Amino acid sequence: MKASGHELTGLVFNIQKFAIQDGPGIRTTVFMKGCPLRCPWCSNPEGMGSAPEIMPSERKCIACKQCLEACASDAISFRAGIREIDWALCSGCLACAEVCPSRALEAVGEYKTVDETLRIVERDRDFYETSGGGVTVSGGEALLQWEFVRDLLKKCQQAGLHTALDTTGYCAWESMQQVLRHTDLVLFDVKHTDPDRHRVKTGVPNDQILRNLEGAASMTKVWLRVPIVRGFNDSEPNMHSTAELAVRVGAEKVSLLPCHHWARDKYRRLGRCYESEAAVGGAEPNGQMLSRWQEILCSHGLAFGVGN
Amino acid sequence: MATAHPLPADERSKKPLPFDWGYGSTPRTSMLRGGLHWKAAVSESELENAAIGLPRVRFREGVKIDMARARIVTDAFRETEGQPVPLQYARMVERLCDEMPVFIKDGELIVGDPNGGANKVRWHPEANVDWMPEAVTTGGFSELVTKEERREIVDEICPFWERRSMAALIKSSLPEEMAPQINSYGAMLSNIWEQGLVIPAYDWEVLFREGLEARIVAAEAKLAELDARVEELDPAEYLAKRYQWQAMVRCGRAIIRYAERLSEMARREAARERDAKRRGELEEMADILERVPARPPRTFHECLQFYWTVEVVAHYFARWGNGCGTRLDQVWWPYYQADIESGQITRKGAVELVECLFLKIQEIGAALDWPPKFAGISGACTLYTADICGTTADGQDASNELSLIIMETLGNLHLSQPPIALRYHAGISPEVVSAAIDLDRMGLGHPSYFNEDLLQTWALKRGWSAEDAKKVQVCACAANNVMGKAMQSTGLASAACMNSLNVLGEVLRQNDQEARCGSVVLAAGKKATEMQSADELLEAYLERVKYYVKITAVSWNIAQQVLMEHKADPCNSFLMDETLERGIDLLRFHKEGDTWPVVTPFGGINTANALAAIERLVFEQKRYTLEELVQVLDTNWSGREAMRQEFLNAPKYGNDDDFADGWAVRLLVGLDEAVGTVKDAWGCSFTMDGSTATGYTMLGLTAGASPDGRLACTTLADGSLSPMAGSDSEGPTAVMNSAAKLPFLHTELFNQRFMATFMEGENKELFAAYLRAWHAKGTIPHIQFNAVSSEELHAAKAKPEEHSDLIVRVAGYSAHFVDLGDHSQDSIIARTEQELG
Repeated sequence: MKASGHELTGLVFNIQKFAIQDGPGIRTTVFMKGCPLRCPWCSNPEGMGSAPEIMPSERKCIACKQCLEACASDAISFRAGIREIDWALCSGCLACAEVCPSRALEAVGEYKTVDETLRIVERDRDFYETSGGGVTVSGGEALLQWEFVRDLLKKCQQAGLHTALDTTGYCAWESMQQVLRHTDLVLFDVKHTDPDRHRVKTGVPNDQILRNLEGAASMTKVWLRVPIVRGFNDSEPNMHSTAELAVRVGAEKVSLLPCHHWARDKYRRLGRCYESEAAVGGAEPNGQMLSRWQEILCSHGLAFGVGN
Repeated sequence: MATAHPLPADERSKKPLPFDWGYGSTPRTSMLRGGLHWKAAVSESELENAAIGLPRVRFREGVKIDMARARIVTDAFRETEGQPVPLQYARMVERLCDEMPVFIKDGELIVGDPNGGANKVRWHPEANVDWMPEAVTTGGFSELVTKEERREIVDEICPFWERRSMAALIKSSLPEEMAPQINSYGAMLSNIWEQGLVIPAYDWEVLFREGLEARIVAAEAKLAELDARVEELDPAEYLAKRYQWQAMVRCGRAIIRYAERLSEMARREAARERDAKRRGELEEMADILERVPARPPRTFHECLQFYWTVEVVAHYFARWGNGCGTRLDQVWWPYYQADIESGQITRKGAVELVECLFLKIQEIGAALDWPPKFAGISGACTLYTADICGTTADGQDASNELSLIIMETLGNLHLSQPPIALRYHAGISPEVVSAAIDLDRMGLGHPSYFNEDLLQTWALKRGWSAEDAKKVQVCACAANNVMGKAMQSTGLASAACMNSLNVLGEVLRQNDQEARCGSVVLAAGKKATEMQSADELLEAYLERVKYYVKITAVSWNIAQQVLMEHKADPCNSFLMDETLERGIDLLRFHKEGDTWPVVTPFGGINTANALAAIERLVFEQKRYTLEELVQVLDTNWSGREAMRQEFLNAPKYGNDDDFADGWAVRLLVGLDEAVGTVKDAWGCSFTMDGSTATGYTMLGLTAGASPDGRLACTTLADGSLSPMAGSDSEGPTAVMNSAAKLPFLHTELFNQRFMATFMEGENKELFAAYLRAWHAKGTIPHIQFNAVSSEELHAAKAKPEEHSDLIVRVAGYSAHFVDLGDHSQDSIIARTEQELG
């Protein structure tokens, strides 16, 4: 987040129209860039870093080599017609993306003002109206840029749009509280109820997250979102404690989000290591595991959904 | 975050077939579907390799040319040479009704067939024989005939028609400069309207209520009355009406005789049948055919057989093809309702009957045509449309149980025919919409949704009265017709197909040269390379369009006059109330209403994208000059891939981008106005129709490289409002927002692709909401959904550039298919194959 002139801007890495699994109805999801967590299963690794960055695509590359000339750090080379990037040398200046004619090198992350973002979001108003949808702000962790998000959601609400916040819950309560004043629904991630397990896999403890959840639930409607990661949070005790937590905070619904490996390619393109399969040991969760989750949620009298 | 997910297994249909035993709700229809002959033809050559001329077309094995029809028709005209035209055509109908081979397949409950055999494809030598000798020898149809049949076609049938066919009569009547414009590739692909295909919209309620005998009596009374007034009448008028009514009476009787032949055959088969149940069915069919269509139907079964017998004779024996739209769920309703109430039939029984009828419709197949044209509409078959839902005369929801049964039937059988036009309005039954989405999910492309309100807007815009506007029906692909009236056929039988990119190409290269065709002149303008903006290009483009429409108008006018003088359709004239009452032919009657001279634009969206790219890269950013662009286009972007990528990645229509969409609006509104300035000889403004069928691939073959980044001889954007494949990357709401920026101008085709998973489980309600938004926008007359097939996914994997718009948020994961890695692509392909079977 930075100020351009006097106007607040946010670093956005994607604005997804026709989002149908980020809350009720047909929605537009604004993905904010930057996240303090490092969950190995994350499906949007391009949303982790807090600065714009390059995400190359081999498929689109036509080997015109314009990037080679544009790169001042000598990070780009061509071997047998294939472009290679030495990430250690890349300065993140984005000059290569500016010259690439085929969008094989694209910058992920763009600073947008609140009004710019609002104008994009408002374009699908007709669809929100017929479907009971609206806008969802997601990430990354959107609350890293809480002032921007607060202003955006406030203006969305003023414009009569339903607002949702999709969050890891890892932030200062004061900033979350300000955003929640303009939020109709929180999609609150609960990755694990055990503090140690949580810290080991995500890199952060969960005490702040759980406190924020209680606070959020006292202010607005909450859906719990649980990424189902095999070998991590699929133990019976965790399933029960997650369900108990949902009951305690009065969550309207629990969304089970089974982990998948579709983002593997993105990690490779970003020059990062995809640890999920190795670290978590997890193949995508099977139907049996999902059924067990559902049984347990049911036994606690909870409504649940898969994917949303 | 946003690790979202696939629907749980139990919410996804894994069943590849609608029933455990396959297709069809009963063993009977399952068996009939198993034995169906599929007659759609496809162009065999890959697009890039196809040569202009006669591409090879491929049929399923066993399909043959129907020699019976060609022989009977040729004999009928030999026999009647020199007689008044209506009587010649009446004789043709009589002989077809009396002599066409009839057959009843095992298990059939609805009988009669436009072809002389279930595996036969009709050929209409009376329309055109020019292409046929080549087509059956070295062209696409050589496998469809025996050696002896080929000889007969080339040495006997074709020579008879060489100077007598409608095509020959029209061609020989045109001014010399006009003739080469006909059926030639370039800016305009004019048709010669050889089919003379005026589409009548009967009032089926009246036909059912009266039966054909009563109409024959009425026509005879008209003849008697005419004779009684002979003294006071102008002799020309007397003769014209006398021939018309005589011809009508003969056609009416011929239809009844055809039913009698079928009845006799059923009776004979019953006598031979050992199975008591089947014997009973055959006897019942014989009874039904004895009664209808001579007399009014009393049951649902009689109603369907009445309907089908008339269709066979009037729509296929008597003329080239169908193209009609009928509100089937409305006109059949009283008979269905009465039978259900009286217990005469169960719902299941009614479904089986409709299945039996739709199997007949599927097997009609298209009539043979010039091979490239034939391949261009091959999938469309007969262009027959089944209208369902809509509103009643007093504005209430007209949906009923038959609307559901009709959709169910197509789903049960997985048929492509008849295409369903679901007339959507604000008060439509949610149950019907839910069933429609289930049908969409199957990936058959049914139904098409039409905005009911805009159908009426269209009719009023075309000058029909408010009363007539209420009787509008969707027919052909996405065209409209008014019940009780007639319209010119659409699609590739329209006045002309315009290859928009070729017009733009001419502006870029030849705008400073005068163009002339006969008396039609296009004055030389400013050289394109001296223009200062894409607006100037657009203006010159529209002037050139007008020039071509004017040329089209001249040949259209003459061709229509030739048809009125040398062709007649007494059979269909007999079935229309007003023509029967007045003793005039359909082809003349048609000229009193809206002749609907239609130009079908192809590549309009490509042209808009081209202008947007030129404005952005040439005039705004000055990255290239127009001169350089034209040079590169002439070499098909050879060696200039980086430049092509820039033009390809310039703003494109379909992404809710105001800059690109603005060009689409300016271009399409401009086209509508430019085309509308030209009138035909009957005072009707030329107009455009978006019924592009599959012609966008064929016309793409003849279009050079274009400034939208397209390579030469590759496909164009499909439909008339659909974005160019691969150019929309913002998803289905953005596409609709783009399309909705255009005011409602005329009939359009707007195709959208969705993964089947968007249409099931909890997503189904969101899909319904998407439809509600489409209707609420109030400007897009049509929308149609294709559930993405696994073939397409395979193609997208192989050629990502052409499929970069493909959205696969099957798992709620935000990605375009082409951006996924191999592993993920394969898993989606596997899942789609599982879902769609």
